[in-house]
Amino acid sequence: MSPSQDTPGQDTPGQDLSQAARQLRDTIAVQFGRSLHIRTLDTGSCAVCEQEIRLLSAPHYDLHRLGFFFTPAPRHADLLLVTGPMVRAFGEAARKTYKAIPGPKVVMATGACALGGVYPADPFVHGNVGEVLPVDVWVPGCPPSPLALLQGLGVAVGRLAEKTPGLTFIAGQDIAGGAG
Amino acid sequence: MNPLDIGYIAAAAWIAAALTGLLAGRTKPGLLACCTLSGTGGAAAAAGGGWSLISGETPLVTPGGGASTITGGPLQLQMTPLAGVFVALLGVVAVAIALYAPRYHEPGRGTAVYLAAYNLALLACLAVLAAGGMVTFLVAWETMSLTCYLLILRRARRDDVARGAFWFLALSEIGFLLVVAAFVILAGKTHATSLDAMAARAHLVTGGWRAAAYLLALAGFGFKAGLVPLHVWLPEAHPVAPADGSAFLSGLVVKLGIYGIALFAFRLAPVGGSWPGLVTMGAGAVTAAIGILYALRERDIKRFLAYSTIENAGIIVTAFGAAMIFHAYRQPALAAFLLLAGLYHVANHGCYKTLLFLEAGIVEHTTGTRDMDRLGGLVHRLPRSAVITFAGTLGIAALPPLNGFVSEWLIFQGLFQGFRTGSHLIAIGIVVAAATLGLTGGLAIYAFVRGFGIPYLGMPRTRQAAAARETGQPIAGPALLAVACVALTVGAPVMLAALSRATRTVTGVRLGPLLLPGKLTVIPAHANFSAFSPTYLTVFLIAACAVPLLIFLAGRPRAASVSVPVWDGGIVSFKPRMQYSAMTFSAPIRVTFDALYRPDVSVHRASDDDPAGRSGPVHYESQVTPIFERYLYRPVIRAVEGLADAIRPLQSGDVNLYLLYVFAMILLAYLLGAV
Repeated sequence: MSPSQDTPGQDTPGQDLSQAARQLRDTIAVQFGRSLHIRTLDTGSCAVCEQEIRLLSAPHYDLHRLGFFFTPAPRHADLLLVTGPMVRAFGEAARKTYKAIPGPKVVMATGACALGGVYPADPFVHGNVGEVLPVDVWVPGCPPSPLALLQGLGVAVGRLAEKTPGLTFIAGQDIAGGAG
Repeated sequence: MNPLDIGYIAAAAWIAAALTGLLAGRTKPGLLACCTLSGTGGAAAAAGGGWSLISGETPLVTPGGGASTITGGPLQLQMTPLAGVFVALLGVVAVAIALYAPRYHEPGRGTAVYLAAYNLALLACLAVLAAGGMVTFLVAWETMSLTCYLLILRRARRDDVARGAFWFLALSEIGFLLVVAAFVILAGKTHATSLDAMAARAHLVTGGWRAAAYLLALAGFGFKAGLVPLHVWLPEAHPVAPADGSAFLSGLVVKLGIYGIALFAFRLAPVGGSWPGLVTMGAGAVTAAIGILYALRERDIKRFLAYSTIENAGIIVTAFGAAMIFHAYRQPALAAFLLLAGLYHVANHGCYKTLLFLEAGIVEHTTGTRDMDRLGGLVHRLPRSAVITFAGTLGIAALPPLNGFVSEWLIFQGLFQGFRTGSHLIAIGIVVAAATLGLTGGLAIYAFVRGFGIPYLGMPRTRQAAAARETGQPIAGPALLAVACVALTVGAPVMLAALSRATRTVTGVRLGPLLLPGKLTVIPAHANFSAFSPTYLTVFLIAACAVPLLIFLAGRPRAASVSVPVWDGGIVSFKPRMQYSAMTFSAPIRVTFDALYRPDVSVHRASDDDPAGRSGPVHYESQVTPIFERYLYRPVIRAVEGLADAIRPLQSGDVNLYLLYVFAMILLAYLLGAV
């Protein structure tokens, strides 16, 4: 399920879609000072989810324009993007990563494996990210398309905003207007 | 009463200590009494040495009148300020070891002999330094070598001990012969045996003979001082000697070689022209660089320290060489300054190297190993040792605010003024030596970050290291030396004033007022070059450390904060194996200087035997034979052995053959009688 023809290009934007994108960007701008950092965590995926995540940075989707960035350091992250069925050997590392992220934080489980649809729990695999981490957003798909991921990120931003009512890290709140 | 009389007190105390040790060393009270006497002698020597710096040269005395039966010549004694520096160091080292030895050694027969030999070695060292005549000097020198040989042989039945001791003895004897030759040349040409008379009549010796005597002395004393390529005994003998024995060897015996070089270079045979200075300086610079490069690939703490001693001897000899050059180019102030800087480094190195060897002994005592890669985490188990070792490490790595920094700074300031010689070629030579010392200094920091970090920091790599305990360890000796290191930094102006008196007797330059115009500020020989105050620097650095601490204590963050574990990359648990090992830490240097080390590397994969299998253990072995051993000593040893093999058929052990020899000899005698 790679991005197909229904993906909006830059020159033919769907009206509501660009509307949603602008809204998302404004939220991030206001709530997170124009930058929301994502830490990806591979808990045993087959790497196809990762390919789709990587496509998010491609010009078609370009999530950076919305204010999302990837970071390797959990200390800098706001959002934990988890793929894979959570193999048991990785449980401790996943827990540590979650603890290392400063609050407010949100966890997004991505792909059929993470949702518990592929591997049943056995001595090697938890089979479900929710067994180890408090998941806020579930994004189905095998793999989920970039657009689905974007939607999931939008939902996650909403959850983060709920967790941090009125919390902003910048003084001026009119930055969103400048970029639009 | 003069400093020499105090020297007699020290000598008497050491003789008493040697006798006590020999007779009563098998019991605990005897051991304690011996060490107390030894320490008393050390305190006396320190006082005498210090006093001689203040009071100046004592007159030459010949106790027992003319020819003494012991030495076969007149016993001539004299305490000079130049030797006084070394005597004071001898005293400090002896006191530190006396505090250390009673807890380090078990009472017993071996200890009894060891302590007797050690105290005699102290006496012999004092005699070398207080010798006013050539015969006294040589007899004392040989006694010192032999007693030190006994020190190294303390655990003669263990592996490699006999080997290390033999290296020491063999090279000492070769060096001794060269020193004898040097003295004989001077004595023959000046018709004098007392050092004073030799120095006074040095002008009678022609330049060529003087140069020959100096070069022989440089090589002869170089064996003791550990100049490359004559240094081979240090890394062989140091690890096998008891900790206080190796501390004594490195802290003092090596310094006597340096004293010998200084004695010939500045007092007995000052050579005209700049080339002997260039030779000395070049030898020193090469020694320093090679010493520290080999130190970097040692895992054995004591071998590592032994190589570091070679490096420091190189630094001191470089300073002396440059002083000789400046002397030849009519820059007496700079010559005296560099001699002074070298002497300062002698005192510094004597303190911190003794400290580090004593601490290495504690580590070996409590963990049973000297291998850095089997230690680790000792800072939690030996906290006081860690603090003391850290002070010594800062000193030897020449990091401010400790004492090594002061003397190395002085040496560099002297070398940087090489342009004052007026000769471009010489100036370039001096700058190259300074650059080599710069490289050495950088590598020394690297080496001692490794030398402290691998054993003391991190996690214990073995169960023995984890079980290390500090209780009952002889901390007092090294602690005294740590205090001495700090005193040598804060008290740098006092030390410089005292040392400038020693250099004044040798070079005739009044360096004191030039060096210390404003009490606490040091000016290296020429006022328009640079200035520095070790005392203020120490105070400043301590204050600089205190400021952030005060800010932290006064202004703690008032906002709510959360404490979470350090982000470790999600690793489940750390294993000691994950740490840097001593060998991986030095890998960049080992790879860069591969051409020098020329390691014999053998790699064996399990899959080599089984073409189908692609995994399995890999056995990697890298062994380094030092180049001098490989290309200089081994061929000589092989030639000697070959010669011995060629002669061996004479001694077949066959009685008939021996009867034939007897018959042939008798026949020959008859024939000769008949003719």
